[in-house]
Amino acid sequence: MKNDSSNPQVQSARKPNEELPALECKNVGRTFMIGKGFLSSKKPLRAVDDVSLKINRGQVFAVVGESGCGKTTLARMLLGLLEPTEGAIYLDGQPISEVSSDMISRKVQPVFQDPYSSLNPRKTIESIISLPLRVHDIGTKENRLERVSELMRLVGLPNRLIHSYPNQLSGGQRQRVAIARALIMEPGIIVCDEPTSALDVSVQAHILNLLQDLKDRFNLTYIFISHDLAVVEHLADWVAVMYLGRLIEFGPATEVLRNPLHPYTQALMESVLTPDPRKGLPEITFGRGLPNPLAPPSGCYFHPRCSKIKDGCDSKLPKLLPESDRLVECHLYN
Amino acid sequence: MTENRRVLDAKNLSVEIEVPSGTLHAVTDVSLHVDKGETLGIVGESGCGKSITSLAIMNLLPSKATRTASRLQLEGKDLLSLSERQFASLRGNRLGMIFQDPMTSLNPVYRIGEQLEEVYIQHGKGNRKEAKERAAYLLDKVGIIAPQERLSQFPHQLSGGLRQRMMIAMTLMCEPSLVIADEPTTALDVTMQAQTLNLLSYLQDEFNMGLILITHDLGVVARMADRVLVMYAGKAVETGTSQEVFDQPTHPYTQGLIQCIPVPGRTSTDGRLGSIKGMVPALIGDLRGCMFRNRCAYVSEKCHASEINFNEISPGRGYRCLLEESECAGNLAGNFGTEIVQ
Amino acid sequence: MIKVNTDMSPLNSSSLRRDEEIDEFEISVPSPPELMKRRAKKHVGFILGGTVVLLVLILAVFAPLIAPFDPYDQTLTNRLLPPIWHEKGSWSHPFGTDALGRDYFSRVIFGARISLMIGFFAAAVSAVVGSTLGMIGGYFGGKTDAVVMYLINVKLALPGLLVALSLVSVFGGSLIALICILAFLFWDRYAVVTRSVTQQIRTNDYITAAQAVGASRLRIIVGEVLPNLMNQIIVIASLEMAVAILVEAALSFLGLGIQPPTPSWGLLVSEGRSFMFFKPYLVTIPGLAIFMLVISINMMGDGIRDITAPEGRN
Repeated sequence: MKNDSSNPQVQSARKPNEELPALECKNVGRTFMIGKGFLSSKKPLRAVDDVSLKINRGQVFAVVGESGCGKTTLARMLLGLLEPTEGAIYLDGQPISEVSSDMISRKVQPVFQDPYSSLNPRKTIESIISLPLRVHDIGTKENRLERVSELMRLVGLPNRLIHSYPNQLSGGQRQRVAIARALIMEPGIIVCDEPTSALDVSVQAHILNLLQDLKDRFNLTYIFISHDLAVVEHLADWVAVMYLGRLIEFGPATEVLRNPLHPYTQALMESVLTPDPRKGLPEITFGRGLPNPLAPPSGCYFHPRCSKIKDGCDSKLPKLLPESDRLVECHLYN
Repeated sequence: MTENRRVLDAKNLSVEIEVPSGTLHAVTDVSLHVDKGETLGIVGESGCGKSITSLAIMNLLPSKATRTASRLQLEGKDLLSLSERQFASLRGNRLGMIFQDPMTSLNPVYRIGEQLEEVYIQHGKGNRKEAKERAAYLLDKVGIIAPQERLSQFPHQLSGGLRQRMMIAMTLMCEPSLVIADEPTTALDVTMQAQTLNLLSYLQDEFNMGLILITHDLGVVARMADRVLVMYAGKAVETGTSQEVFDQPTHPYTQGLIQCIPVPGRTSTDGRLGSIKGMVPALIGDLRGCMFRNRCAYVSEKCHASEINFNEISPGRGYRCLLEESECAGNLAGNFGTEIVQ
Repeated sequence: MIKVNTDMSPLNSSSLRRDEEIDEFEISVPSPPELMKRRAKKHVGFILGGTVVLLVLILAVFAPLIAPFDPYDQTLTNRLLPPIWHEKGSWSHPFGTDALGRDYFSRVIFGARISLMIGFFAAAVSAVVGSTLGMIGGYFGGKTDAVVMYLINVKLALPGLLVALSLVSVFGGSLIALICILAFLFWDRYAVVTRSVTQQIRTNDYITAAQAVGASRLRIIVGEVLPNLMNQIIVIASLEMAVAILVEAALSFLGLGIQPPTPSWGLLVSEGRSFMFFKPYLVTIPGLAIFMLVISINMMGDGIRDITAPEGRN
């Protein structure tokens, strides 16, 4: 095994500065040009719009929102796979554009939603989990095999699966493989993009417990993207709510979810169907008409669907301002 | 007069499928019934057989599958002796279906209006003019604004939630007495899910239909269903009203399942979720004993060999386990708690 | 970096499965290579076709050992001797001799070499060129893809055989020239398929995961995308090989391919043409050889497709 303690790059991966936030976004935005073909005019799509956050080490930072809110685009940017078109992202204090992709991959790793598309069907489990080691040229073949076995033990996979293929594993087992692959280089930050949405309820419980145990053991930082607010409340320390690319509410998880301020967050919480037979279905007072991301509403993006709308909501964009120890972007509080 | 209210009556329904490695017992001995205006929730995880059960009722099983039942009646009419052609005239007509993915359930090359009208006309309910009127009426009922405009659009021009509403409208064109919805909201966003379920509930009242709601989501079932059927490994393991099943889950699997769900306000950030060890068994070959035994905290010697019968505590309420009701019922806060067993 | 300070022992909380414990209900699903082996054993077309191809391959490789005579050896006193199934035939020349007294059996055996070499290399070169272009276009999209599509469209607009004929007349009928020209005829088929499949594969999360791990684009294309394409490439290659053999035979027959005295099967047919009505065996034997090889390759190619992707069938 290459003992690279002399290599400064490896050293800094192992000892991040504890005071700096693990990841920070300052007014980050990402715009895509959408249009078909070579010659037709393209329209801008603001997938992420002016998002600022600080993610501290050892915490679970959840990003919630429905489809089209930009959370997946944000995840890609935090992984260093996509560059922001506005603003900047900082990884351990350094602007991410100045960090080599090598270094980024040692610090931030993903776990994706779909256990069936996140593993290459033509590769064995051993090959999948050891990919990061081979890409970074770490260790010899024997060392890698040993290391893969270690990781498999850690995530709860029986060692006899080491030479199996993904099609021979269940959804839960595949997700464990994805987690093992993410952890093998000991990154400090894991970006989990809906890691349990595609799994059965009983399997989800296992994976969530596993993620918690791993976090406690290794002091990991999670960026947890989900639409399932019950899971988020269970796992997260902080919650950021996104709508149409904008960050509209932020704060400690328990507070935001038990006492949501923004009307959209309130509607989201009401939509969570807990298994309580006494309660019926929630009455969601959303106006009709889903927004068009290519032509967002004027003023507050949410105003056409808001039940608490008042004067000025349709003309002025509200600011993300502190309300007690939280942030909210809504004219009701501005 | 309860018999007239009974829309669907199925007894001892079983489905076997021939696969290369043997006989797959997809569904074994499931009995269920639905009355007018009632919602039956069939809940279970993947592989439990809930979708196959609905396909069996609709006669849409794959060719290698065989269905047996001692009784299968729709509005008192026997379904077992019907030919496929007779069945086809029932589907879309007396029996409606809503599937999970509205995009693949709709034909992308036909306009919405055409697809809605076709159902009506094919089943001989009226002419094109009447079909158009009914389509517009239903689109309005399902909450689609400017229905006339929508009729001339194509499916890809609608969002996911709207497409699902369109599916619902299509299902209702011929006023079915029973609608089977298989994971109707799984692919939708959570706010859209709440709205769609509200809509289904309202329509069910309005048209006094029977509704079978198949899902893996316990929350949906608890809130929507009047009665619940919990399935595991192809069998019905617990039945009852939703209040009975969720307040006093009797079968160990039901208890385990409820413990797995994070509930806002109940599970703390430091705690762990309850879980069920092991995996669902493959249902191929000679199956004996209880299929849950490799995962059950109460397992004993008897569970391996004997035929586990369904205990009926009272009409409509029962569970499939060798344990006495007093030994396992209502242990929600007990053995499952926060212990992880795997 | 691997032996590091963090504790990698199994977690105490038993969200962990005990290692050797096997659930009594656990099913074992066979791995993809295992499944393919099973299907291969049952597939009649594959076994039949494959056997014949293998035989021809052996004949070709060991031609100098198997052929009784030198195929170029002319013995003018032994011209046009009949094959074994005629009353006047003898075992010394089982397929008789041609117009220049050369042993036909030996010529046919050496001809197998030509057909297989040309077929194989033409298929291989066009596979490499076409698949590479297709993968690049499918993976990168945008302008790169536009260029690849343009090239494919231009190629598709060209009349294949006519182009081949003109190229042969310019570059001659040497083995290398023929291989290159035939490769040029077929590369677009690979490009179209690999491009489309690569586009689909691109959307999978394992590609994003590889990017997040820091893998270079080359590594991703070759290491992650290509393995998923191999099955299709092999199927196309085996079928294209058959076509290449036929085209070469046609070109040689027309005098534009392999030049005499090299014993290409097409050339044998051409040489036997003037004697067709008196000595039909001069034409039928190489003709049958071409037929048998091509049909076997086709069966084998169909078999490979069924074995590697049975969901394509009903």
